[in-house]
Amino acid sequence: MDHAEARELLEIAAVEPGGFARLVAGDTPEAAALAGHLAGCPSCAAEMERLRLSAAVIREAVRLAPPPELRERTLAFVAAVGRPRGAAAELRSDTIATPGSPTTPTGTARRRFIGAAPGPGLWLASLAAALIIAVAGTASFVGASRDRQIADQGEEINSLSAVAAWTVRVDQQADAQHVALAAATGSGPTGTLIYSPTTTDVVVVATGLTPPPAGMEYRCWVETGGTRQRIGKMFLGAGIAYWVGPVPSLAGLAAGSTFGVSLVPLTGDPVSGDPVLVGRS
Amino acid sequence: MSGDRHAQQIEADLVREVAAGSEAALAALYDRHVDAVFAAAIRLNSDRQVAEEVVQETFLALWNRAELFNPSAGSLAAWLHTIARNRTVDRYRAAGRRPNLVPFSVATGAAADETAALERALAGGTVLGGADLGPGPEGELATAELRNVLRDALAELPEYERTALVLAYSEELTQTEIAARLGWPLGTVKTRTRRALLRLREVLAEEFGPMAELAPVPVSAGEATDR
Repeated sequence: MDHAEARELLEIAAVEPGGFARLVAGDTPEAAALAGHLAGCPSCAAEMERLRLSAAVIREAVRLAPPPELRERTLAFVAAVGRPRGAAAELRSDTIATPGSPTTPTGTARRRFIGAAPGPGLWLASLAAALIIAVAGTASFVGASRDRQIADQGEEINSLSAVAAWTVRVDQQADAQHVALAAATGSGPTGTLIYSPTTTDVVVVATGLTPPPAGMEYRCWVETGGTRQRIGKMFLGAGIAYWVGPVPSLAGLAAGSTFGVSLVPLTGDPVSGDPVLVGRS
Repeated sequence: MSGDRHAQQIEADLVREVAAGSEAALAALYDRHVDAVFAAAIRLNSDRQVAEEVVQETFLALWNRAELFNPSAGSLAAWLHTIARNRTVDRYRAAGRRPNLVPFSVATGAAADETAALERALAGGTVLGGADLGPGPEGELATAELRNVLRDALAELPEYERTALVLAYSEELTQTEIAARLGWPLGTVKTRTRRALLRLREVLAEEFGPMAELAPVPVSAGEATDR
């Protein structure tokens, strides 16, 4: 074994889980050959130790580094479901009655539509109905917890309005794709997914999903070429489940991909599990 | 100290701007704190996708509750760390599981008062290590500065090299598993992960010099080429 071969083995071991341990164990022909080389080559032996150290440092840094695309996803997520602030908050107080909503100072207006334009599909009507129910429900709270309940209801209304805004925006894209989601078994829940392969924005809305049991949650995913990729966790509010946001992996997605929603453990594999809703593009 | 006060004032101003509806201020705070928030989440649960969601939920909480941040009560870093930790622990509680065993310093983050932080951590159900685990030589080098350098270098890698290396180190996939996941030939995976590792290693060696003992050891003249 020459230096180049030895160093190549060491570099491959540095990126394999337990790679160095297996090499040191010496129970393969390659490991035995390497051990023989290292015994007589101080520079390669020193290189192994330096590589082991630098790989450990790099491994920890890689493990702790958030992916670059998380920035856009996070900011879009907050824009989609965060409470309205600034001018948008004042606009909301003029159009939807939410008694007790705090007045927020003027600031940067957030892009937002108030009241979804009529659109095709029964599910969009369900979304509008959910908004009406949420608004009507604010008048029924009494007692010391009224302000908190109103604040929670206000957040729910904000989220549903954001879903409506996203729906209109994505639907207006020239390449918008609509996927009907149907119950995987029997009847019951239904839904719609709209996405744009160019902007990679996605809206998923479903009705008829029962509240998940403790320790479980609904997650939507896309499957292409036999591989599932996570889209996101479904949020529940006012009788519907929804998710909105950008999904960069959908860029240029080919037709014939499968979209679905599964009920999975909170801390388990986010894309495993039998689908409760499924549809094909 | 004046530098710290200035930085804290800047952050307090940014939080006020978030409360007023500034998405640019939120983005600025994201850039300042995402590394620490993500690290806190992934150290407690080791699940990268859950950690990403905890990051999203933490900054959503910052947006929704910016008025509740009190600069005189503690740093924004500590506040965000607490939110991220609570979001992670909540998931485990709901699933009937316990988070990873972590050293005290990780669980309490940037909290200035360790006694109060310990009480909060215990009340929150975080499992704490009772002894200093000792960083070892790699831990001694794992400073924030080091992580920043490597994070920037990682972002500058060609996308396919970065993807392969992240799968190897974050998800601990073997080269064969990476090949299956990405649909690449095994030889391509080996080449790309090795290149990524060597590029980052060069960055380390350039940044921290020969004393860090991270640079490749050259083959000495006179050593036989075949042993």
